Amino acid sequence: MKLKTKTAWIIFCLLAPAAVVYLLYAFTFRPNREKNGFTRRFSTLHAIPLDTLIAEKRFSEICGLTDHSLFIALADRRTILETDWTLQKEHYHTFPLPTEEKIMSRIQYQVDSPVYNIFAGNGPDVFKGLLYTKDPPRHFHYGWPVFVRSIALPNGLYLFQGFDYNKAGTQQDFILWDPLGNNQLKKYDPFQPAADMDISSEGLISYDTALHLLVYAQFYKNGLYTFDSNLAPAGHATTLDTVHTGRMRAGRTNRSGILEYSAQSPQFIINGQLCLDDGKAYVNSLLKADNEDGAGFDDYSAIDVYDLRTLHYLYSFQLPRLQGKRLISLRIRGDKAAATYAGGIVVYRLEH
Amino acid sequence: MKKEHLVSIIASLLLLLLAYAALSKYREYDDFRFQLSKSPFISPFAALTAWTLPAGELLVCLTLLFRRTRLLGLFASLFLLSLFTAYIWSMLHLSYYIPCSCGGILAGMDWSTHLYFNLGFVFLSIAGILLYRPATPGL
Repeated sequence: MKLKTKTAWIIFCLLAPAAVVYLLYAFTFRPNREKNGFTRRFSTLHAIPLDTLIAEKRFSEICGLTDHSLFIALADRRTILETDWTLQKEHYHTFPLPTEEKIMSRIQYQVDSPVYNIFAGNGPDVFKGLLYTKDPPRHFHYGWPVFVRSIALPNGLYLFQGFDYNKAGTQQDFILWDPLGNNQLKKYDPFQPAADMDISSEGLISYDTALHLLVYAQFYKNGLYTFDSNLAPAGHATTLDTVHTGRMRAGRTNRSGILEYSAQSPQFIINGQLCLDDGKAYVNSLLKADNEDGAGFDDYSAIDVYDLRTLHYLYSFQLPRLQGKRLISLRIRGDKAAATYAGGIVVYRLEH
Repeated sequence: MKKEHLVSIIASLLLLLLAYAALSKYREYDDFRFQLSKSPFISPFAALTAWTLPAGELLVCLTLLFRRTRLLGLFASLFLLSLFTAYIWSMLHLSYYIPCSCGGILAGMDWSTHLYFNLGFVFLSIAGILLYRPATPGL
């Protein structure tokens, strides 16, 4: 074969695959490169970065806050950082959690200083203790297969959100549990019946201590729900976007002999973060509105604000990102906000 | 070193890479298909791709194995590796969701490392094609 022919074939072998991939891309759902069919009402509220802490550590959820302190879980799962709102103080709380793989498979902290709750494992096991003391935490165990998120309610009860299955299939349950009497007070699947094992209904749950409301924002579609402390439905609305049905297929996979139920389609999270403050729900939406600049959308996190009583959309504001990184966790308290990113924490002042 | 030896070394490296990639995909077939189903670009064709891709890789291995079909194998390797490279680049720059889709040691690489790794093999394939001289003139 002559050099000229070889060169022509080399060019073909380089360009044809690029064309194939372009065609695949062209026919793919492109959420933030096309119009999404909704607009945001940006308010005069601005988030101004006040203090930033850059560190090698991998920060995870902001698991508690007071007027003076922030509590942030670290990726090592045994430690939380306590810092102040200026991010000057660094105090680490390390918890002697059991080494069992099952317990360490999932750890979630909730700090209502000085009380802390650690939800551990798929049991879940709950460790409840007091910060700043050497007293060992109390250990409760609830034998329930899989939990995703948990909340320690002010009345001493726990709420678990997770997956379970019965004859009808897999479902997502909310469970109220009294740890002292080991009583399951209520088990409730608000999304029943769901054909996709309820995976497309998954979302973020938070509790508003002032209104005694549980608020639930779905990851993959625009459902926004509230429940009272007994899990009775209190309200249902949609978030700002137009995604009524999640682009989610669920299925069963055999991975090294272990059956796993999970999403079997690309995951596009619409509502990435939820936090509550002063009767408002703050939802970080990852979907670009039609009145937003496509290029600039990656420089900030869009926060949509809803009235908790009516679930009406109020306004949106932009939270500048740290080095363009995506938000990991957001908490708001009055006129201040704290956010964690991979490798950093930022405290913002919210001002009109 | 003779050009012929260089071509043999390049063909062997490509053969090892593709055979390893194909066999690890078959060994962890369920996981591979599962990860493909989560890829925004391939999701609708996940089941088909999950078995045709490693089959294609093994076929290319066969063409690299025999001297008579080695040039075809080098072109086919270049095509496949360009396809993987274009796919990884587009996933990194255009996709809203990035799954994991390689088995074996390749699963340990992040997507950017994987891109450079593939580019290296793309250049090796091109070098192999340019260095290739048929044993019988005219082939």
